[in-house]
Amino acid sequence: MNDENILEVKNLNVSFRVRGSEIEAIHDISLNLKKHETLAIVGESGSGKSVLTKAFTGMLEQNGRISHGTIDYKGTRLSDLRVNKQWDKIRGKEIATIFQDPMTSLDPIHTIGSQISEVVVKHQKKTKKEAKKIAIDLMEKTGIPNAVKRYNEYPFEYSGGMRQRIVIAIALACRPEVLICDEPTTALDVTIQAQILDLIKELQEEYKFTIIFITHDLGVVASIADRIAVMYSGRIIEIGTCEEIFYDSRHPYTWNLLSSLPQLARKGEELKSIPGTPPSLYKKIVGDAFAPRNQYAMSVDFKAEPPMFKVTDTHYAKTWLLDKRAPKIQKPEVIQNLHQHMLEMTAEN
Amino acid sequence: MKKYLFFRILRSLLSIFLVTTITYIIIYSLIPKRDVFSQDPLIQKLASRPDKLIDYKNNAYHNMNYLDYYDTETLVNKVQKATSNTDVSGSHGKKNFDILNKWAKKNGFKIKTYPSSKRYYAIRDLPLWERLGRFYGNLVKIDTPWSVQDKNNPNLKRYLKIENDKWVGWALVGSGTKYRYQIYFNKSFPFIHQNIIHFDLGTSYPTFSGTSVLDVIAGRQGATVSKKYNLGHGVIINSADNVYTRQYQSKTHRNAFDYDRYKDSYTNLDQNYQDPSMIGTSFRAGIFALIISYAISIPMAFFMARFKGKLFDKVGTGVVTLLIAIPSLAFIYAFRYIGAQLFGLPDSFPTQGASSFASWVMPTVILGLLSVSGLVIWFRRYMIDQQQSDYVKFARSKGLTDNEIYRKHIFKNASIPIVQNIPGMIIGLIEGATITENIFAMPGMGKMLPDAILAHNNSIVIGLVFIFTTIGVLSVLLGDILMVIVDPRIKLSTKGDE
Ligand SMILES: Nc1ncnc2c1ncn2[C@@H]1O[C@H](COP(=O)(O)OP(=O)(O)O)[C@@H](O)[C@H]1O
Ligand SMILES: [Mg+2]
Repeated sequence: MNDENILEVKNLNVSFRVRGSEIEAIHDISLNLKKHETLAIVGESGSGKSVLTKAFTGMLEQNGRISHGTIDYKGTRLSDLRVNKQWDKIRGKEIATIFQDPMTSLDPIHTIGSQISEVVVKHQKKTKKEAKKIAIDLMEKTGIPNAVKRYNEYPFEYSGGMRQRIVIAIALACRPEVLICDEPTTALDVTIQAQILDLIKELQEEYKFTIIFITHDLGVVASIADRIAVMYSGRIIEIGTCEEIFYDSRHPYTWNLLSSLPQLARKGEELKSIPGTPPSLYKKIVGDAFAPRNQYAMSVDFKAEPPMFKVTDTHYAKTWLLDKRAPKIQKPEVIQNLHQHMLEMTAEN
Repeated sequence: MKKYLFFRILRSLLSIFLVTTITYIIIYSLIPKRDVFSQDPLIQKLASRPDKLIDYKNNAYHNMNYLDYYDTETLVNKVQKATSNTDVSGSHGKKNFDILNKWAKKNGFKIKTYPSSKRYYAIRDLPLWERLGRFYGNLVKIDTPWSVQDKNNPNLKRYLKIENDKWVGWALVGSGTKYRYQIYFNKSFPFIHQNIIHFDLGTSYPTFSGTSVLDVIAGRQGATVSKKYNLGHGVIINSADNVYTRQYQSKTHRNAFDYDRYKDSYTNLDQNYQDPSMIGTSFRAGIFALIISYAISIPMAFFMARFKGKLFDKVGTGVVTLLIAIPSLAFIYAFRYIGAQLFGLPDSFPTQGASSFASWVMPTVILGLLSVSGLVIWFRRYMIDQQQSDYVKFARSKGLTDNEIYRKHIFKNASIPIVQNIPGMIIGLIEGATITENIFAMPGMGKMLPDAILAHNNSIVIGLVFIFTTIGVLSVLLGDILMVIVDPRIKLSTKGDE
């Protein structure tokens, strides 16, 4: 295992048994997570973002299993762990996850404070009294006003944004190496979203953890991610640094995602959306999974699965367009000057 | 919160009032009053003495609040007093009739004659609202030192005192009150007792004729037993008297022996009986049934949910489905047969009586089992929902072990439906008890209800409806208050109430 990497995934397949048949939700994913980086995973809903990260913490549902490949975390082969007892050493303390819905992530009948201290006691081996102090500290850090008083309140007395702050505080109390944020802002309104993103960034600087940030909204990641992985139908179809994905993307699906950024919509013009729907997981996918929706599809796209073509050392894309024999294709006009656009927009603000 | 509770209790009382009133109206307006005699053997015997028969029937109606009835003597007395006319008598004749009838017209009565003696008597039908008024007017009786008004005893002292009584120990003792001991302590639950407030639900008829409804339902039953009373100075008295019930008795009724024993006018008392009252019998069986059904269904549902889809869950689901599919009567009889054949338990309560533990086993266990299937299905469903809830997922992702998740989170959350379910459980037990008590001939309220209906004992029926409604309404209230304790999201308050 490379020293730089904290998590290495090789040729991972995850499948579910549904009414007697196997469906493949994750197909041949390889991925390295570097220490202290923020990796964003982007894709339409249903593309397998949650399933992929659930596999990292052994939280796949009963009917799911890793059918191929390996996951390594700091010398532990996670893909070999079977029972919850083994996972107990990883979850929380090493890899913690926060979920989309802050309204239901907290136990409704325990106080906010007790839910934070519970974790402090467990992972930081403190007494209850010390834990309370640490918990109040964390509440202040995550921006809860009046933390001492609000320690004894219940989740229903908190707003959605406040609850997500608490969820983050709880995750922090675990002192994890890796924090998986599974669409942590999707359920919140826009202004709160931005605050929560800022909070996560600040805390990362202070506590130095690695982040996997899942979202279906490319717009969100620009401000937070170092690298971006784009997922489609259980596959990573392009991965690169933030700049590479925004300004030099190579996969038509990524182009589509970028073109539908709300920031690019001019007044009076309709927002672009991608025509067609993702393939059903119940049929075996032949060739490129994106081919049926791809306006640049070639005949090879319907026959053979493309490999990961290397663009740079950090940039890879899974499309036959990068094959030497493929015709040269210009990316759509709207996103050609994306850099310019982005600069203009920041200037306007 | 206080305001809410106040209105809540008010609403509870209102529902009790409405249910009781509706039952009252239905019974007294739809069931012909002569039906009360349909099971009465005395009617046959009195057939040859028509005057007695009329008197007997009207007295019964009078006791049941159907009408006011004055026999000849009372009528003449009333009229003489009202008109200061001492000439009038009850014998047949125009002059007498005119005087009586004049009084009757004024007071809403009708003058009638007994068929053979032709003497006069008076009746007045009570309209429904007046009967209801009397029922509620007499419902609560509060004892005070001025309760007893006895012309033959003008020097009766009137006081309330706390003293160490030689019969009952420390007690609030009254004189001039109806009951001697207003507040007292003893070893039976709930250890502190009172005689200040008494409920009066009317008089029982035709079964338990003449006894107050509440005594029938709440008075102990069975054979009398004597008890040792240690009066100090080595004096020990063995007596079946229940001294706690000592009530005022006027000189003319008292017997010398009792007066000699108690040395005051409180010589009217009940006996000690060995068996619990109807309400006590039902209550005991109900509490144990409640414990049994929770003790079985909670762990069962818990393990079924925890090992969902595994063998235990499958077997459990099978058993529960079977229990639901079998009609409860068939289930009760089958269980009773098995209990009697395999374990030699009595299949009827009176065989060994209330003092034998064995008598209680089958009725309570069966009563408890009746609600197990419903509870299991519900708790299992709830536990599974909890296991799949987001907060449990998050708890797992923050590194809590399964045991910690169950201990700290799922259990406490699962207590919510358990508490929520208590009122329904209690009401279900009342329902179940009417079946089991009848099958096992158990002398409780559940058996009394159909018995009373068959015997046309209207007062008892209304009394029982009143008690059942009260229990039902209070258990709903109790359930809500418990919910506030287990679930912080629920607050007892009305809008705008701080
Ligand atoms: N337990 C499961 N059983 C069957 N299919 C599942 C299960 N969990 C997820 N899937 C399927 O896997 C695919 C990816 O789901 P998910 O990772 O939740 O998508 P998202 O990218 O929105 O997070 C979806 O098609 C979903 O239906
Ligand atoms: Mg998801």
